Amino acid sequence: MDYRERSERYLFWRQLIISLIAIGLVYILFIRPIQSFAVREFILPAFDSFIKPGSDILTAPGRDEFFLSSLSDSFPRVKIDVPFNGYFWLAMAMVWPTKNKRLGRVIWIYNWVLFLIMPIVAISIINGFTWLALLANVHDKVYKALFLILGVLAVREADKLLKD
Amino acid sequence: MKAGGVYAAWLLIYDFVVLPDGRVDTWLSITGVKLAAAGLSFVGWEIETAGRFIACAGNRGVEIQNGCNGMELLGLYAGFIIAYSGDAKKRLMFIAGGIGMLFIANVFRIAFFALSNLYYPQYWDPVHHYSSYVFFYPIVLTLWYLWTTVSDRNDIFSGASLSSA
Repeated sequence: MDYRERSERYLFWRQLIISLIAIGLVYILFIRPIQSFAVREFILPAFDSFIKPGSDILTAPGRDEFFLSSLSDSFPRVKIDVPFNGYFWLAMAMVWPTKNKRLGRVIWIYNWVLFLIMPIVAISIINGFTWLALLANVHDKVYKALFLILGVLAVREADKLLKD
Repeated sequence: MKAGGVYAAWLLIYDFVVLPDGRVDTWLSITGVKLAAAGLSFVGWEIETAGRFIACAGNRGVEIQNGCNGMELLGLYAGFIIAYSGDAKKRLMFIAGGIGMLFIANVFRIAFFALSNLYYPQYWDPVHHYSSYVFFYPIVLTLWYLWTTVSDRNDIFSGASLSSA
């Protein structure tokens, strides 16, 4: 390992740590409060308007998400996340310093797809397609894990390139 | 995708079998509370515990509920290690070691909850919400990364690599 290689790897890891801290702070101080405000003031009331009077469905606000549940427990409580949430930013904080456009694009596109699909899923559950609840709950956790894995793989690829 | 599949399978087993049964979660919560209390008492704080509750003497307590004790995260961690190619023996060691580290991290997290409730009770919500990012994710992400480096090293020294050289 020569001096140039060592310094490039050092710079990369330093960039990665700075990226994680900086994006973490921006997310906590600015992005999340805006998302919470949007959920409280606009998104939840919009979905509430789809619930018919006397319906079995209950909505409840979370921090940057909202929940759908059934009064009669006919389906498990579903968490509907706002796309571009903390896991997106955490993954991107790992991907940006690696300049890995391919993995970055996958994460971006996935979030835009969620942006379109999640409202449809929520409205479908409200309208009685309650079997989607389990699917939504499992997906909610799995896609976040996939984002983290893509972040780690991007870091690994970049570090390996610098090393080789 | 394979890692996602393993994690999804774990979530279904966890949600439908492990969590309703409650025994593993209860053990994890109560053991975590006991160890955190022992650690805090050892360094001089006066701690009260009752089952899954922990508190600094005379203060508001923290309840470590099932489903909120890091158990779910163990599946997330192991899912990637299982899915990413590598030597089986080392994989087992990584899974066992990682689960052990996450368990210890959870003990520190519980201790941190008790102390934050003593000194900064007004910040309970953010402390609780962001605790995973501070205590668990650095360990999970670092171990995942290390596993990719260890398994790549295996590929270099594997028979396939040698025969093709």
